[in-house]
Amino acid sequence: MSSLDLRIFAIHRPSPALFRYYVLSSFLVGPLFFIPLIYFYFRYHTMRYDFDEEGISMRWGILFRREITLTYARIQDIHLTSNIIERWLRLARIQIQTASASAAAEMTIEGLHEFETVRDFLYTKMRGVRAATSHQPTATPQNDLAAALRDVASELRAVREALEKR
Amino acid sequence: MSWRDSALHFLRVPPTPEPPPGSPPQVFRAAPNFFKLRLIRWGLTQLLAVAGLLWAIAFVGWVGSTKTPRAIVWLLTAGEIFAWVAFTAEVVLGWILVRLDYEMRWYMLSDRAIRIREGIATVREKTIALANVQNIAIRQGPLQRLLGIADVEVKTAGGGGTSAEMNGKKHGEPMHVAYFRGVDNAAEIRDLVREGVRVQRNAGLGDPDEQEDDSMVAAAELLREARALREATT
Repeated sequence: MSSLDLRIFAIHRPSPALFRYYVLSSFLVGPLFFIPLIYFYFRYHTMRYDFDEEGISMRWGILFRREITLTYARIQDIHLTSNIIERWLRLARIQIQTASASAAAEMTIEGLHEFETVRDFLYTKMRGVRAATSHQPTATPQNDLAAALRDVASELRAVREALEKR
Repeated sequence: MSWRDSALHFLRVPPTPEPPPGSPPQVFRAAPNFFKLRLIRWGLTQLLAVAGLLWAIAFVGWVGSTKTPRAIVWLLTAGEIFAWVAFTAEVVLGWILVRLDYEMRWYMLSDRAIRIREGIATVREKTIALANVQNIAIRQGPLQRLLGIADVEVKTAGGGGTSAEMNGKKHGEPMHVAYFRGVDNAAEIRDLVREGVRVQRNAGLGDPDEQEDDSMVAAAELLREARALREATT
């Protein structure tokens, strides 16, 4: 496991800047700001990330709980989006897509200052890329296959010779 | 500091994006005519706004000629002046945004991935692995054809956003599509992306590792079978 993996696996909570962003965006609603604020307060305080060897899980919610689990190998596209308030707070959203039929992102990782590192980390694990890198020496499996088939051929030759001797 | 630097600093627009994984990328930019087209569209909306403001002047003049109380006429005139000031500020800001939106665009293509950076108010950076690309299309409207530019559209599997779904979303961009907007070498980009997709060993959906393992397992089984056969016959 690389040090990058360990650093990513250590992420469990979003940064406090996310709560500041939530407060600011609630006030944009105007006089009814307390309605999103209550929701965002609990969302921020219950939000947990878990990165492990196989995938990410993210959960939040107090009345209605939500937990999303994604496998790295199923990730298709990774988008990084940030509006101006988020950039002032040095935040960005990592929107992760799988091949499912929903138009919106399957998972949006919010509130991490190290969004670029996480994005690159996810990128090295996602499908298409991981397969391409793990088979980088493309000759090896091909050689194995060829060697095995050659073994089969020699075995069959031996069978034929054994039968001919009878 | 030029207006450009201060605007970019105020908006915290990140500089040139990091190159995507893979070989050093080829970087494409939007063509100058893309800026021209955006400017034409933006200019037309500004003309509409001017027409509305001129109509408002005529309206205030007409109200002044009737027997309306003086206070109301003054109020309308104050509103008119405020609208003109706001319009002037909007013209300046709008032009800056159109200009920066044209300048702050990068379309990167490496041998493994596509990375597209666009947007000023909302900065979006899309990364798509070439192994996941499903289809490529070129779109060109009549105005774009006149100006010799086109949009290259690269799609991955999944969610075709229906209009209902799109309306509910915050940012009106389908997530499974990446656009090379306003490029003047669309055919060249399409060929490069197609070539990049073609050389990917595992393109499209499906588990990329399965096939390889299967053939190995099958070959090993065949070997075991053949050995057993020899042992049985000798």
